[in-house]
Amino acid sequence: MNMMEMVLALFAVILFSSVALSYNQAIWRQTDYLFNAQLVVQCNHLCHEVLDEVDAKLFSKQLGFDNIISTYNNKTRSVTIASQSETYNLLIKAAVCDSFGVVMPADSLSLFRRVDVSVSGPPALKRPVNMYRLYTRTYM
Amino acid sequence: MMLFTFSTQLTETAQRAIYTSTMIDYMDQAGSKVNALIALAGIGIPADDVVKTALSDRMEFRTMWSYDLDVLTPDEHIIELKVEPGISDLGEVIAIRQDGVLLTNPAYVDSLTYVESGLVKYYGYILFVESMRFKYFDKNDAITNNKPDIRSAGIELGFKRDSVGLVSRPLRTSLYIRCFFMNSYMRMGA
Repeated sequence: MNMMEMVLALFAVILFSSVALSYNQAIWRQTDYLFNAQLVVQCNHLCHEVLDEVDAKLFSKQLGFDNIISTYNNKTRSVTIASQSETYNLLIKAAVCDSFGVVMPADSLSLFRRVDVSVSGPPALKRPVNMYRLYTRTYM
Repeated sequence: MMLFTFSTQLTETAQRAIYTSTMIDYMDQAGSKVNALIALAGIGIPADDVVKTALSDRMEFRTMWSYDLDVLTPDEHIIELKVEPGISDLGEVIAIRQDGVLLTNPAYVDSLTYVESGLVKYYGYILFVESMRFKYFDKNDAITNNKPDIRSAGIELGFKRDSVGLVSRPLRTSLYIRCFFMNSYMRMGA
């Protein structure tokens, strides 16, 4: 093998190594996206769990409409799901809002309350999942 | 040789990615279906009498809603959820029965293809299931197994699907959902 052939062989090795590296990087990125998607689905259901709980307790009158904020504002929860070996951290906020969900000063007269849930925790989750629901005073 | 290896790996990775993304979507739909099913539990039934069977792997509840006809009926129905051996090689299934009769969509049974046709109808089978575990909660969110006290259920669903290329490396996903017996809560507040 002369000098030229050795240089060409070296270039070939460099080319294939670059392809292998970029390919592996793409696979890792794709795996990250899939992990993230799976966690987003779980976080979505955890958000719904909290918001459904507020609904349920309003239905049963265990929770008064005027107590939504004192009961849920700035509350944190930690949920560990054994089958996933993951712990999710929930931050719940509640506020007075208007009919569009825009937060108003705490002492405002309004028929609406807004409960926000933010879920974070698993390292593979790229950003926290947020969800909110509006609750309306019904006089029922 | 390197290119051949790349090509094989690329094919397998792409297949696994497509399967996994499909399963994530399927898992979300399955969770929503179970939630929608339990949302109609206990209609017309006293709050303390809704849950008939509360085991860790099987649940039965009462309701006046007919999932089969998609209407409110004057008769009480018993709805059962449990994991059963599969009807094909698609893994185990969650079988949902109303009064002992499987809620079926012909498309499920005939072609075994998954057909999404709305949440309320076509419960029958939820496919690709590996496990389903129930935990029960009372009105104060404390764990209970006392049937009259049950107001919500936490359900851990595990899914498994054989991958195309490597059957020895099945794709697994899992989901935890909490379903509230909303009608029982409404009865408590009435």
